[in-house]
Amino acid sequence: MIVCLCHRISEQTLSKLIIDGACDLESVQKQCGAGTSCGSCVKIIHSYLKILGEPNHEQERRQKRNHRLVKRSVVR
Amino acid sequence: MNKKDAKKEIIGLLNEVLCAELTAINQYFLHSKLCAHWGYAVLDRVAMSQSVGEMKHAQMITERVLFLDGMPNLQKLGKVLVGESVLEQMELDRNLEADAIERLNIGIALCHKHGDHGSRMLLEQILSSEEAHYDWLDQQVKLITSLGEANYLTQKITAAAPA
Repeated sequence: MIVCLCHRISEQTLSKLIIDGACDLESVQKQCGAGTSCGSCVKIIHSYLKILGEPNHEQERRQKRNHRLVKRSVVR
Repeated sequence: MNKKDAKKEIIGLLNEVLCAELTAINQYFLHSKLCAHWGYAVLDRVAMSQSVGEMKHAQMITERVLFLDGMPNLQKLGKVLVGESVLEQMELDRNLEADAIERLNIGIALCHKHGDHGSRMLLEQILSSEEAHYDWLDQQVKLITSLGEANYLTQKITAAAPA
């Protein structure tokens, strides 16, 4: 599916961007221009960010937890 | 609810249906032109006639809104979902039709509740056309799944060269 018709950004391009680290709308807009013209695809971009961005959040949470565990062990 | 509020609610509903019809016109038109570009002349003709069908629905709704002393909103347009393959196009069109059927059924119930049988009959007429379109799309998606996309598409090419 073509998500952004104004800039001809397909589902695959957007998914790849998000998986490669574009974690919010602003970074998606900066990297490919999607959602910067008419704005009708912003809602869809958000839903992709929510679905595909989840593992990143999970990774972040894990990293934070690991940091806490490391800190605790250092304090002990 | 007084008569004025009921009328306002129906005009709002008709404008919502109109917005969906205008979106469908554009989506089917673009799908038709993409199919023509890829060489699937049969699918081009079908999608184009569906786009024109939606245009006729939009015309009827516009006339009805004006009859009810409302202002048809031709500026509001939903997101045009464009498929990059024939199967994807048909799935997206089928989703659009499924949403339209749901919206029309809710609308028919609302018109019935407020006693606006003219609008109800109009929405019923559109509903039967949308259901037939949904049925066709669903059939094609099932055919593609069972035959394979390449086998299905070989039936949709015409060999005629431009004159």
